Amino acid sequence: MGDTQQQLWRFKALDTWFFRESRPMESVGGSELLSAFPPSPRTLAGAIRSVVGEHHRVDWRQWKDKAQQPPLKQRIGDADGLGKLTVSGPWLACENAEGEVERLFPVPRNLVALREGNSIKQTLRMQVGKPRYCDLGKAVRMAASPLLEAKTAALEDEWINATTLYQVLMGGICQPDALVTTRNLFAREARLGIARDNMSRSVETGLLYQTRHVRPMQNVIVEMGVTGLLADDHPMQGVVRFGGEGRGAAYAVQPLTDTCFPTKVQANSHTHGILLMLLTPAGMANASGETAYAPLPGFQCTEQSGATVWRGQLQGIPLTLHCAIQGKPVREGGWDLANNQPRAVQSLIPAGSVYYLTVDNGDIPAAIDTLHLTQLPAEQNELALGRGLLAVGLWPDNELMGKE
Amino acid sequence: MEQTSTILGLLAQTSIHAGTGQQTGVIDLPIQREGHNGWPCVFGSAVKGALRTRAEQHKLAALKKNEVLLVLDARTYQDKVQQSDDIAVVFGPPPGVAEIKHAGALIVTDARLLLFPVRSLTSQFKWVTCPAALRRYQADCQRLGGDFPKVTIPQPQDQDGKSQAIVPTGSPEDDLFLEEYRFSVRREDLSSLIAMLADLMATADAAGLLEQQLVVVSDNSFAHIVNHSTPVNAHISIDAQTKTVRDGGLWYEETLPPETLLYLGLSASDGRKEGAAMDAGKVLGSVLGLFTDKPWLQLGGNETVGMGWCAVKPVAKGG
Repeated sequence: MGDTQQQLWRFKALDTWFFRESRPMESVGGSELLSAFPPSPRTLAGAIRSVVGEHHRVDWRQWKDKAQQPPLKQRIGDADGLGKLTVSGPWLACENAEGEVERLFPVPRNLVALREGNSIKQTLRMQVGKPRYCDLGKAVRMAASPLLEAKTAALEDEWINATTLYQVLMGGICQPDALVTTRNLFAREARLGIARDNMSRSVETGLLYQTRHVRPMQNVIVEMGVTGLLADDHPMQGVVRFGGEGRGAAYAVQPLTDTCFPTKVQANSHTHGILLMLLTPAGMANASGETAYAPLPGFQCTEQSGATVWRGQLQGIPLTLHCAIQGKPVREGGWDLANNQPRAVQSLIPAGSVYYLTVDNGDIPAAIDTLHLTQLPAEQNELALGRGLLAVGLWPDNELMGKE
Repeated sequence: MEQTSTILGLLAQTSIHAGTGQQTGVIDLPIQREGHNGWPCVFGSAVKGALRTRAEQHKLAALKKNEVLLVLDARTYQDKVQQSDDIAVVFGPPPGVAEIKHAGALIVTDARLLLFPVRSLTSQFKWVTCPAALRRYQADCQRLGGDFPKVTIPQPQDQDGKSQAIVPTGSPEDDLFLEEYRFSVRREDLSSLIAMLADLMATADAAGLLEQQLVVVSDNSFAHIVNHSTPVNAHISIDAQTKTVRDGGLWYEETLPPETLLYLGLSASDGRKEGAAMDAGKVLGSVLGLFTDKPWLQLGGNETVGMGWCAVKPVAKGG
């Protein structure tokens, strides 16, 4: 038995995939069920665990027995946790004709598009607006468009590579041709399914369903970083059942040699504060079990210079949160294969969400060093799933409206 | 992990109507197509259903032959046929089972298009393919882990508004007409490609036929052909008493023509059903065994009017 290693698992679709959105089949009447994409980390972790377990000829029925704790179970966990596994991702990536793979990230939410017809004319950075009265407090700063007269739109269907993300985190914008649109990565395919009674050769009553699969392009890869597995825990490549409806994926495993993330930004004289971007979705339930609303774990609402702000610490760095741009919540459920039941659905803040903070002790370089590529505090299971991974960017001083 | 995979070639013997169940344009009953490129296909769920049906027929015939199954009611059918180990392990529990305790052990891919038959002025028909379809077939072979041949893929060059077609060296035509489109011809030695394709075709002298009828066109030409050259037939429903067409009884139905070559991947893992030990090799073997005596599979709808019959040929066994 050797040491555990950092690995990169890459999955390619055999044809289509279906990662059911968090609604049961029975609840939707005539409407169709969509597929989430990219899939949740739990789905990928489950597929990886299946590969490992079947390689070790695990009897999954005995796996449920809590009294049984063989070494492999301690390593890869069960329905309640990932054992000693930790994962990072999943990430979308594209392979070019030379076989080079480039990882893609969601566009930070502080970048918006100025559209001309169906095409994007240019991208713009959002501003931190003047304090306003709202449901969160008396004087809350909300993001504001820099062009009040022009219609700007969120970049929800676009992706960028690590180099472009670094430019945006440094305070720049990205050129429209650097954006990779979702339609160039995968297509959505409507499916109408029936169940047939093979004895009478007629349609089974009540078993008509509509789903919408995703069909990734041939060069699209879903990848995930994994630590905690031994090199001989699994074959280095193969085919695995992936997501719902019995679809398959070809996988290949390699040692993780390159982090594939944007490099660390450097503060300059125009830096007002830092900008935290979520690279992966984050749950907002506090590790300490607090139930009061907190935009970041452990942060508490207070007043500062007539504005409502939230104060707290991340990794020991004292921070003040002034503004946030969050996407629509991601609803994540899933299927517990071992216990044959659906998982509880949870709401997550989506990747790409952005938080504007100032560093209370004024040491911005130290905050960048400490926080870049760390995770927001959460329960151990959520941390193991790679939730709340942060990239640190710069908050330039010209992006604050009504500065005192 | 004990896992084994293979590829099956499906050569259509009759028209196939694997429908989407949804109207998308002027065609009332369109066929299934891949979302990103519009190429016809048969979705994996439909193929798996066809394989399950074939397995149930096989089981039923075996039980009747051994006189185990004398009374065929729904309950007996479910218990003795659908829930039997060798079917439930492979395909999963049948639809409608109250409690699903395990998943099937077989992954069935979409049936993907490789050769599309197209009318030609200069011969009976041509089997048309393109570099993208061939590349994808090779990639699928690689993924499914078998010992598959590496073949250099021909690259037709469309230029100056003229489309090019690559044909085998022995082909007599200087210009080629596919439907109403004219292609300039370039001859190449396609023998290794023909050997690879013939290996998927359950027909006598497949290599000889391909020597005369194989055409490789550009990806763009192929996309146009497979989107606009599928047969679309008008159907009517007649009132049996008056012998006239029923009101609303006219519809247009699209099909994949006979001679279309599709292929699909099968990947098996160890069985998951309690008390029924079947390793991956046995799971895959039980599916391939369905085609030993009768290498035919019925796919899609309109079975009772003879549609959907394919000749099946397993290509290679990897893992």
